[in-house]
Amino acid sequence: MDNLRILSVRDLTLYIKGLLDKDRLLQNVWVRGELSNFKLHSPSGHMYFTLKDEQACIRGVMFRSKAMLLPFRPQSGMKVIMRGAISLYERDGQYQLYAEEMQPDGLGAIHLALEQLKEKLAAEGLFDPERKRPLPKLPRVVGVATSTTGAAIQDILKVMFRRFPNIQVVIAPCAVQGETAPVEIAKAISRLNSHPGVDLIIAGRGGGSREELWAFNSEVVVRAIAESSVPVISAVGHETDITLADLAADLRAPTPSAAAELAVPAKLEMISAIQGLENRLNNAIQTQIKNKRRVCELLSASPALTNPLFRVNQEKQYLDQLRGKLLQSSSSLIKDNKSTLNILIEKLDSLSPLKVLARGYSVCQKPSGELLTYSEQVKLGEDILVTLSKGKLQCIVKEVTPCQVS
Amino acid sequence: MPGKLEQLSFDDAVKNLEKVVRSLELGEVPLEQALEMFQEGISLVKVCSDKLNEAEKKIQLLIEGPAGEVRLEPAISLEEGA
Repeated sequence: MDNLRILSVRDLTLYIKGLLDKDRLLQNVWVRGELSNFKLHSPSGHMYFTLKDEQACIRGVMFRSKAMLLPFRPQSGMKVIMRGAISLYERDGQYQLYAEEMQPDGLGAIHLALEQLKEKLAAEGLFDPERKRPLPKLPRVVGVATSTTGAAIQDILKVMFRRFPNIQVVIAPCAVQGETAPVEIAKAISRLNSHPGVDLIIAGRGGGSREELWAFNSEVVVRAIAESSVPVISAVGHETDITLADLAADLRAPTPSAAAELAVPAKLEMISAIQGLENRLNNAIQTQIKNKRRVCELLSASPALTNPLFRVNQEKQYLDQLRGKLLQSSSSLIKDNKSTLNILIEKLDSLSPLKVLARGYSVCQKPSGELLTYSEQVKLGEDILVTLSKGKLQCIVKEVTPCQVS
Repeated sequence: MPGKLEQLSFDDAVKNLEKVVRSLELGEVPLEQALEMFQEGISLVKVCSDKLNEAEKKIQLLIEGPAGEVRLEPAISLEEGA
């Protein structure tokens, strides 16, 4: 006993739950049965029920977030198909179906198949909005994949030629209902793809019962549309049901006539649009030229061009002014200099030694010419030369009185 | 250049024409360039109008024969109705 590993109830339950949660089939399973013990719990909004058939039953729950989206009211006794995951509710030790989707079983297996196909193709991304391509404004050749006997082709041609009388159309005839329809439609689409010039395809048929439109829910048609190298407009029936072809198409038209309307532009509108652009082009170039001309006119009206001597005359005038100023300033300069000179001459004159001599002073020199300015320069009996204002004296020194040195 | 313009698709020709018109309307462009753009615009107008008129109304049937061969046939019966 001691060597055995003993689990708690909780651990065991979680282990079982883990097994269920790991199983891929159980995580996304479709199941058909009859509802019983159906309860819409208030206020939570969750749905609790048992799904059963003659041999077995399984408890189930659909939470409010999904339950509120159901387009019908489930009730006990109703046959339904549902999709969900199997897991374990630990508290009750009960495995149950956690339902994601539910639909009445009346539509049968075909409807289920459609849902499953839709899910699969959606998972591949064939319906992604990013895949949608813009249509050409003016297709070179419109390809039409439809039956040549139905009303649809007549409607398409009538609308297209009304809008654009010289459009080119290539029709790839195909059955649009019956067993061969899916493959024929798919082939028609790929045939149109390889026809040179076709740059837009309309695939569709007139309105009919759900069964009659069924080909447009087939996988081959959806794939042919998705693989088309040119944009495809789907045109199936009359608005009510959306087919998988509609989801895969680059654009969905509710009817064949509407598809033709979307495929081909109204020629008159196109012509007037081009004319509008042409008018704008003409106006734009005229405005450009007018603006350039105005610039030219402004330039040619400037004095530099209307009176080319203007600048020269201006410069001449300036030159004359300068000359006047020059003369004026040079003559005053001369005048100033003259008076300065006179003052200097007077000063110079007053300083002349002759003037000094004339006032009674004399100049004594040694015979060598050395000027005598103090007594000890000479000795007793020495000859000196005295220059007077008028004439000179040759003298002998009789006495030398020393100068008082200060 | 004109040879190139004719090879444009109608959509691209219209797009280019719109671009030329807009930049000619918007900006001060040197005269030589403005005239060049105008010339291009006029050529594009012609390309667009030609494309609108070049096709001839035609309805044809693209039929696959029993051996898988594809052939083109005139669709006379449908043409009368259209």
